[in-house]
Amino acid sequence: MNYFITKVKVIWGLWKRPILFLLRVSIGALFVFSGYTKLMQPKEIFEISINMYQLIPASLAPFVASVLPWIEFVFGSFFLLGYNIEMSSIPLVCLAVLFQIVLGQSLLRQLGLDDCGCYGHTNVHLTIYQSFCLDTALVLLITLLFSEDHHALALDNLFETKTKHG
Amino acid sequence: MKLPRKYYLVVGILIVLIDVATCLIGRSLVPPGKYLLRPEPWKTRGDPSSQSFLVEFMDYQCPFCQHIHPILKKLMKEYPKAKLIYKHYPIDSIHKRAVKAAEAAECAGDQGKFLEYHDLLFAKSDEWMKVEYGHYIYNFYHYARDLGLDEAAFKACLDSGAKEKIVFENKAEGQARYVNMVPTLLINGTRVITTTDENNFRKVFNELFHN
Repeated sequence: MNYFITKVKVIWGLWKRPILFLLRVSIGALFVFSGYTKLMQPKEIFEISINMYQLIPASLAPFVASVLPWIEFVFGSFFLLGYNIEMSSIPLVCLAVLFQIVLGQSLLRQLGLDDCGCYGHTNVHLTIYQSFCLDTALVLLITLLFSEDHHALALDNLFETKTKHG
Repeated sequence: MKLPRKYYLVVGILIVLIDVATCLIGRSLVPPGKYLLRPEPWKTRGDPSSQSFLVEFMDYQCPFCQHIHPILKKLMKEYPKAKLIYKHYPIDSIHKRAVKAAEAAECAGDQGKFLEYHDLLFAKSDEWMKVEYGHYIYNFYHYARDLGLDEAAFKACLDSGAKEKIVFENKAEGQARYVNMVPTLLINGTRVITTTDENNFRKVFNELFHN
């Protein structure tokens, strides 16, 4: 058993950096794609998607439809490029948790939606349940990346490290 | 060699600017009208100057569309400021006659009588839906004659299939807005309602068109 654990640790040590790099790029790209597709269509279409969940007043939907895609797109691109990963992890985790709440309540209330509306008017159609599972995975993986000190091929590596005294 | 920390914020701002530029370029490449909810005045009932409006995605063979048709007409009379735009959304996989019916209404629309033909299709649905398959087209010709349309022009329009494009463009407008069933109504193009109950419609009309 010890031998097995040691072996896993050795393999993880060898592959950790490329795996974490791929995870970071994939998650960043996912948020960029999600935000970009929404920004490419009229705001009213995302408003419909928001209103379908019947969670916030319809009067708030235009504001959410304007702001949310930009948060996804900008922080997704930060994450993708490895810029200020710690700071950009926070809004991305918050978004994933928010999506979980929205999707979870629609499952509990049996709203009967068959498309989560996550990726705008594209050919990517996820059911509410699939999207809920994806968001759960995202929360865990972003938290894992947040806890890492060093990230491969990240913009952060090009800069002098922050000293404790600034 | 590492870059000084003072450039860190500059790089962040640069990324945001690149993001904004990417979006602006992307938006300029989207074909104009791709996501537009076309106003289509010939398919609009009620006060055309009203700022608030309802859009109904409907199918002439759908029993629920037939059910809500008189309800909506009644409410349109009660609320003079109401505005309702009809859009075709034929469920052509199961409603084989719905596309041709929608085309017929569009052909009548060419002669300024879309709404009259639309009402007639719902009023006489028992007739044209029950007649032998293939023969219903003659019913459509008769309805055109009944409404005093130029029958030859109507027939030429319907037989050519020229209006099929507009019918499926309407359907695509609905699909882009997560419409997947009929009847679906959109409030001001942004809020979906799928009710068939008169009281629920009344609440919506009160909210939108109350003086």
